[in-house]
Amino acid sequence: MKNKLFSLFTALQISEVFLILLLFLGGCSKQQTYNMQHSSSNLKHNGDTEFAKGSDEKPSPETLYFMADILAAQGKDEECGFLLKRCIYEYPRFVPAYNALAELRMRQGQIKESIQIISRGLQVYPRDVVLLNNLGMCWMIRQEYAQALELFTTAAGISPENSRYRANMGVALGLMGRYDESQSLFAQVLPQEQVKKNLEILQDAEKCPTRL
Amino acid sequence: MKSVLIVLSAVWVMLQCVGCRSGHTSLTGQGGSPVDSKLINTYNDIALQNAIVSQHTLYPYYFVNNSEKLNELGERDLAVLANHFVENHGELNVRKGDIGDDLYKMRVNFVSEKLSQAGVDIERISIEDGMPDGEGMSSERVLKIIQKEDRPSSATMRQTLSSMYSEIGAGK
Repeated sequence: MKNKLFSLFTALQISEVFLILLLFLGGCSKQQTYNMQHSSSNLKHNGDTEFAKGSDEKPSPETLYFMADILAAQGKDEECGFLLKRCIYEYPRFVPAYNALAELRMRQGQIKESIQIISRGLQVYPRDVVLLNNLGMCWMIRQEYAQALELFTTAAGISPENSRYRANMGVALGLMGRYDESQSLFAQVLPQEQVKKNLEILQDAEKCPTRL
Repeated sequence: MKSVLIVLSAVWVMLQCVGCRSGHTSLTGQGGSPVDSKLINTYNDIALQNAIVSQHTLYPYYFVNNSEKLNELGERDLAVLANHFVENHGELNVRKGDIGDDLYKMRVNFVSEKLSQAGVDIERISIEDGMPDGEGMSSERVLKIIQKEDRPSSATMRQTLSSMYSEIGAGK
């Protein structure tokens, strides 16, 4: 009787361990499959052909964009610019490339070219708020505040809950000396003490634009 | 024997809980994030709406240049004010800025028409060229003060501004 009971317990124990192992391995089957697909042994069998297939395909806009991003981080502006230009040429509907190239040109002090790049992007997507806002920023740097205000206002009209566009409108108005309008916009999106601070900064900047 | 079974059961329970943590987290993430962001969006929305209603003022930047028509932002913010004025009476300021009297009248008429189209009883609200804080200092006066100061140093300007805005805030 004792022996029978003991063998039953042992059987139960073994089955329990087996069940645990099964759950442990089966429970994360997705992870396992993912790892399997990316393991080197798997590459040896199927990867070569897959890799060969991929080498014939042209890079996606995301790939080009992220490569350009890496190059920019490494300070390789020329290569970065080349890649972004290629991205725009091959994928004219990929908006982030316009913004990244414009930002690069702005960093290089080429505001005119920056404006041209964003304007080309706006020909593709006339109501893209990021492009509109960035073009407004270009005009603001050139101290063309009225044009900047028009672009920020369009962006705020398309995306009225985005506080950034309203705040940028406030900055443009402040730099035009229209302080009460500037204050009203800041008050819509900022706490009172920050409204005051912003107005002070703008008044100083209006007197001495080089401080901006 | 009993202790072995207990240990095994404990290990089993632990494996059940920990084994697929990544999957579990992503599920809660998917379920939780949208709710949270929606709450934040709703709050932002209300804060902005409250600010627009408390200002109850249409500035020149809400209008198309040299036109009586509102731009897209003006239309949207006026819709917020219209929602408020459907149920409440009060005052709506339409700032004149530097435009002529004729264009200003056209703007006021345009806004009145838009409000009545939205179901607002125009008799219950007054439309005038005022500042957000009711009887506060007019922008013209503020500009005159700034001009009088004849471009003072930044410290003087700060002093002027702080006194200027406290006066407006108090509604004197």
